[in-house]
Amino acid sequence: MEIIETVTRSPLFGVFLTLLAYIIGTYINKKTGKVYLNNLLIAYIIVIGTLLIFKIPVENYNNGANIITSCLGPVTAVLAISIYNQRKKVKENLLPIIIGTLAGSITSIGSVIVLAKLFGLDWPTTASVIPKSVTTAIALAISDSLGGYIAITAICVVITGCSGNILSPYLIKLFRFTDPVAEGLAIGTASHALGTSKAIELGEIQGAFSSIAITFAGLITVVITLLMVI
Amino acid sequence: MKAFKELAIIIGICLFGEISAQLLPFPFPSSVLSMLILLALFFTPLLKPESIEGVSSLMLGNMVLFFIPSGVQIIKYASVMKDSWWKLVLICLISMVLTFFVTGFSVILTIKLIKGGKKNGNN
Repeated sequence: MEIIETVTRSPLFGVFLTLLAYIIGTYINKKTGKVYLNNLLIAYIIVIGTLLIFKIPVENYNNGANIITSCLGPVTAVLAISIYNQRKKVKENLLPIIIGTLAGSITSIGSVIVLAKLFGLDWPTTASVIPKSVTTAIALAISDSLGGYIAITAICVVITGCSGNILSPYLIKLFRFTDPVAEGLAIGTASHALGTSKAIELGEIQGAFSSIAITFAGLITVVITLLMVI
Repeated sequence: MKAFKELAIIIGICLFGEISAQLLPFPFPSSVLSMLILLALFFTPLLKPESIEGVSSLMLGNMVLFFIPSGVQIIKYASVMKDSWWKLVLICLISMVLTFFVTGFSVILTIKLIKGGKKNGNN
């Protein structure tokens, strides 16, 4: 047992387990071609399952996993490429971008408040869920300014992003969206960068507009919640 | 060597983004700021997308990988969520679907209105 403790404490363990889970998840997803066998979901199950079965403390996993998380900054930054490649289409669609992300962000905040009331949640918990559709860094700052619990916000951001990543291909069909611009903006506004990784798989235009939506929805949500505090 | 050069450029810009975010008078995520800086640089002769193409396409093609650790942290917070976890999941899910629909629908509507307006203008 001591060997397990020593090995898992090495930063290489967290990196290895994450890579392995990703490779297996992606392999199963590609091999079966089933949307519901989402690679992210499979990877979560593999990592969490491994940690629980072998009683490995999540702190040990994080020694290496933190290295991968710190790459999230660069990964978000290079989304600029997909926006730049679609710059002509972006320029043509400036108004739909603004109106779409504004309407979406208002819906996101409003629906959380209404649903939280229906479910009888207290204000700090409600405040923690409000910024769930924006990228983690913005969401945590908003939750804090509204008096929410940062830990709950972090989880809600992941739940929302993950469900956007899994469900967006279905939602596009359900709502009969055929315009890649609308698809991309909907994915990015509803489920930030995690959904965007699916948008990139769907197509270059979807990826670009989903990336733009992250920025717009983030900024708009900051402004709306600022007004709520005042 | 080319990959390392690309990586150095990307990380350098991100570090610059982190410094810039600190200097802003309001809290703003450095990753999104770095994205805007990178985008602005592409419009100058200083940097072309081709100069960071290799590493970028590797990152963007495997974006999901970088989100695995943050989701795993759910184990740590399982006790915080206690009995209300299903409410939180349900609220996030329903609100996400509503946001998705309203965003997409208003985009489609706006594009239609613009096109309609242009047609009328031509007549």
